[in-house]
Amino acid sequence: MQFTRDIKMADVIHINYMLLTILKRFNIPLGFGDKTIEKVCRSHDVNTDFFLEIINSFHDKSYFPEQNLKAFSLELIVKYLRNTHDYYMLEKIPEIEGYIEELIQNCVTENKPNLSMLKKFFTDYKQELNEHIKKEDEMVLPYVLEIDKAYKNNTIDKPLYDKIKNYSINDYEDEHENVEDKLFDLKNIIIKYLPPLQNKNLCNTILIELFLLERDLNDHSRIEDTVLVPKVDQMEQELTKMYESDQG
Amino acid sequence: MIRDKLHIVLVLPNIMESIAIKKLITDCGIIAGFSEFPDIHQLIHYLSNHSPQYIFIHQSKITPENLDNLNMYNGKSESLCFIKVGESQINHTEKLFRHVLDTQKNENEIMKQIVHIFEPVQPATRLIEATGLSQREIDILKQVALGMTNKEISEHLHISMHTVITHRKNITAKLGIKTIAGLTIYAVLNNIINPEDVEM
Repeated sequence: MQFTRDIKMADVIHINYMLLTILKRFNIPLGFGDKTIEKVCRSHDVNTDFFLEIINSFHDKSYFPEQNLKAFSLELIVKYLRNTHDYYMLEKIPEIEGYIEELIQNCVTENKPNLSMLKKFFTDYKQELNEHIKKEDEMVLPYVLEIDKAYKNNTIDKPLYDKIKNYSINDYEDEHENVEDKLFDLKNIIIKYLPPLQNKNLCNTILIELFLLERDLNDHSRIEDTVLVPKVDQMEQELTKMYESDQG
Repeated sequence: MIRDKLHIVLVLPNIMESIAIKKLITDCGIIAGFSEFPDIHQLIHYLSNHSPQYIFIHQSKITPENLDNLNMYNGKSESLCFIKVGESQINHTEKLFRHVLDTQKNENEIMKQIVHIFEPVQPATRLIEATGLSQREIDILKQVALGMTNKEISEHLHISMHTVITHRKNITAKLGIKTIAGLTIYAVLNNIINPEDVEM
């Protein structure tokens, strides 16, 4: 099914509780009573159409409204991506780290060194993810905004032209993979190879969090790769053409 | 890498105690098969043609007579270990029992006792069933975990780069682990390499 603006926000969560994290990213708190998506969005200053496209594309993988999403301003998309980055680095990753630490503290068996090894693995993963996100926040997204501004103003100067020639948004598409492999391994090590742990509840919590994080990251990359990249790519092409015809 | 399971025998007064001890042992990562007997008489009968490694006996089951019968197993085999199970203030005078397990302590204390009892067991016996890796794949996994490049591995094992890459693909497919860091953890968990050999 597809969510539309007149559906009650409470029903959205009943239908798919995974969308709770998306609400958080848009800074929409719970307690919406019987208000519709549109009403809730408006009262929190959120662009309803953009919100709908995001929740629909998370809810149903086969629904990918590239054309619609591409209609939104890049500023809106960039802001959303930044919020998502913060959600990973400031909330989700430290939370999972805390669980792993708790697992180590509670362990009195000889599994303890194994858990320390797992912790080191996760710390390395965090480091890689952090570098990847930092690069996006500090280089890619500012570049995107620069392109957006030039496109809106219909002007392009030589420095920007050179920049496009040196680094195109398409280069960035290839950089997603490695980080995902580590998360995949971590899950399998816990499921298949780590000797059984005393604290099974905590262990399950960690696994579930890893599954959720993986899914969230995949959806996140999908938005970057299928919305942001093609949109910027198109702008790059038009700007380059404009510059070259001005020069010629 | 198929290993024999440990064989553990329990002579305990009730089902609750037996369930609890089995759970605690399993939680310590010990993979074992259990046999249970209601009294020492039946245990002795069983020992005439079986050789378990660990025998847990509750103090209430011990009498001077049956203790004499059990004493003939004392020192008979290095790998046979008797453990006396009981409530607090358990006396530990009989030479037969290498350890006592005080069931009145809290869960953490009991876990520590069990870990101590099973300390001599090689970690290998505690882990993991057959991996499905061939000996050659294990050799290559070892080199990968130690941080060697494909080129170094091919020189070291006198095989072509192409062969190394094929083996690595198969290892990843069999284990479901893609990264070198992940393969290293797998190798340590399975005693293919020592933790000291890698910077963890």
